This record gives sequence, structure tokens and C-alpha cells, in this order.
Amino acid sequence: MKRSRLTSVRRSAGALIAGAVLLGFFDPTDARADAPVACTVLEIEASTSDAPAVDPALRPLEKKLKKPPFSSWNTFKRLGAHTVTLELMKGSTLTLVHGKAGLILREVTARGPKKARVALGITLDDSDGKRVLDSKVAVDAGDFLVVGRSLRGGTGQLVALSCKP
Amino acid sequence: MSKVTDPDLMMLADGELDAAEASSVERAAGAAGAAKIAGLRQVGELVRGHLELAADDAEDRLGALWGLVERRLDAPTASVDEAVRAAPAAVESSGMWVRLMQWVDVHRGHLLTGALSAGAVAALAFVLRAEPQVEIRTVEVPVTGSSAGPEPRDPIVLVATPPEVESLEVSGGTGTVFTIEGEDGGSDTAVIWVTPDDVLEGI
Repeated sequence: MKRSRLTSVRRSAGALIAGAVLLGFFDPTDARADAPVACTVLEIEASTSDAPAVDPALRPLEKKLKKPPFSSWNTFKRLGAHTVTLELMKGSTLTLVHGKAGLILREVTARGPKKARVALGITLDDSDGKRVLDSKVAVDAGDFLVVGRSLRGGTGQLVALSCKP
Repeated sequence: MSKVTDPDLMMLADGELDAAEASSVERAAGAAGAAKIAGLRQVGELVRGHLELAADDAEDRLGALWGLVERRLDAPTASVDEAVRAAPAAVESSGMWVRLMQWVDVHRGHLLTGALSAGAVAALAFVLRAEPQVEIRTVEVPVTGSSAGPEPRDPIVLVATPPEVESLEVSGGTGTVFTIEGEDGGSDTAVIWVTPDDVLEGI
């Protein structure tokens, strides 16, 4: 009885030491490969008007929207915002004003001093349910990726997304 | 006396019988009894001689003890310590270990009492010990531009990696990939743009 208790204590101490060693060797800021990521998805309508305006809700993207190719429009309105948590290799579908967007988290990697990398699969369907785009991309965690298409009437649909573990 | 036993012979050899009994026993014992008596006397002499020799050997050691006893008898109020100190020859001849043991014998009660008291105090101190109190203080350290101290370490900056488009499939239109350069060291932004075939206007 006493011996087994001692063995248990020794095992617990060993586990604690191993945990401490692991914590010491690995940066706690590193992302786990199987950790879920939280994605922010913004649907934006781009148009041209006599009163240029950028929706205040799009402030993080404001500077980018004033650069080509978006500079051909001068009015940007946020149509919707979604926050979705993606798990590895599990797809998620978002209903947009102009169609649907599909997201799947393919991989999350953290490589030393580099930012965590998020690999995504993205699909974009139009309002008729027709698949417009199917792409695989990899971006740094927290950076925006913009997927868009031209609509009738000289407007555009932008889907900006940013994911971070 | 009809029969002589060994105890009778031993009492005869030790001289514990009076003259009448002794002569009666000697007659009854005969030649065999006389031999036994002679043997007993020889053994008795050997034992006495051995004890006398042992007493002679111990006389030096016992002399100091006897002197101590006599002094104790002469001065009954003197303490044992004083008597021991008064016989330095005996103490010196005993050695350090014997002196230590004598001191322990004398103060055994004091030592036990002291040990028990120390144990009780330690147990109380362990049980009644106060919980450690941690006080956190924030001290502002002025930053000086002198080169006396070590150079401050640069903050860790994670390296950005440009976005990658690994695959792109577009249905009924044309796909274009742009990259908008980041400002102020910011990351680049990837743009995937689809221009449907049935849309004349585009960017």
C-alpha cells in the first residue's frame, strides 16, 4: 500500500517535471495544430456614388479599400458580419446577402518566429446557388483575405475574412 | 553417622562443622571421602587465590573509589560533582568517554527534560506557524539613456509570410489574384477576384 502510494507520488512528480520541461521548451504563444480558429467574415458591397463613403464598421480595411483594384469604387457598405469558429477539417457555410460562402479549416501551423499560418478552403456561391469560386489559400493568422466578384450594375461583392487561433 | 553426603563433605572442607561433627564425618567418609575433601580444599584455594589476584589488580582503580566514598562519608553535604572534581586522578585515568558518560548519568534527567521541551516547542511552532504572506510591490524604474546599463531587448516581432493561393477554380468567369501591399510594415492582403463572363462591367 505504502509502496504503491510512493510510486503514485513519484509518477505525479515525474509528470509535473515533464510538463514544466515542455512548457519551458515551447513558446506558449505557439498555436496548436488541432486548435480551432475564430474567423471574422465581412460581406461588403462596393459601388460608385457621388457621395464617397466607407462604412465605419470597415475601418480595419479602409486603407486597403482605397487601393487598386478597389479604388475603382468609392462607396463601401457592410452588408453583414459573421463570426464563426472553425475546427480542423470541418466545413462551415455562411449565408450572405448575395449567395453563400463555405469555409473549411485545413491546417494551422506555427513555425518559430513566424506568425501562425492558417490554411483554408473557401467556396463562394452566387444567389442562384451556383458555385462561383473554389480556392485553397494560406494566410497569416489575423491577416485579412478578400474574395470578391463583380455584380451586375457595376457593383461588387467583397467577402473579407480574417482567422486567428 | 551412617552415610556421608557431598554437602557434608563440603561443609567439612569449608570448616563449617564443629570438632565433634568433623571427626564423625571424617570417620564415616573413609578413604574415598578423604580424597574428595582434599580435592575440594585444593579447588577452594585456587578460587581464593584467583580472587585475591583479581582484587590486587583492581586495587588501584578501587582505591580512588574508596577515597571518594570516604570523602563522601566525611563530608556528607558535599555534592557528587565536588567529590568527582576532588578526585582528579581517578577522573583523568578514566578518559574522555568515561567522563562524558558520568556527566550524562548525572544530568540524564535534565537532558530528557530539555529534549522533550524542544520537541514540544518545535511541534507547536509547526502547527501554529503563520501562512506565508506575499506582498507584491510595483516599483517604477526610471529609464535612462546612459550606457551604464544593458541595452533594452528588442520586442519579439513575428515574421509575416505573404499570403498564398494554392488553388483556384472559377466557374463561368475569370479569376484574378491580387496582392495589396501592407502599410507601415503591415502584412500583404491577398485578393481573389472573380469576373463572371456575363458581367460586362468589372474592375
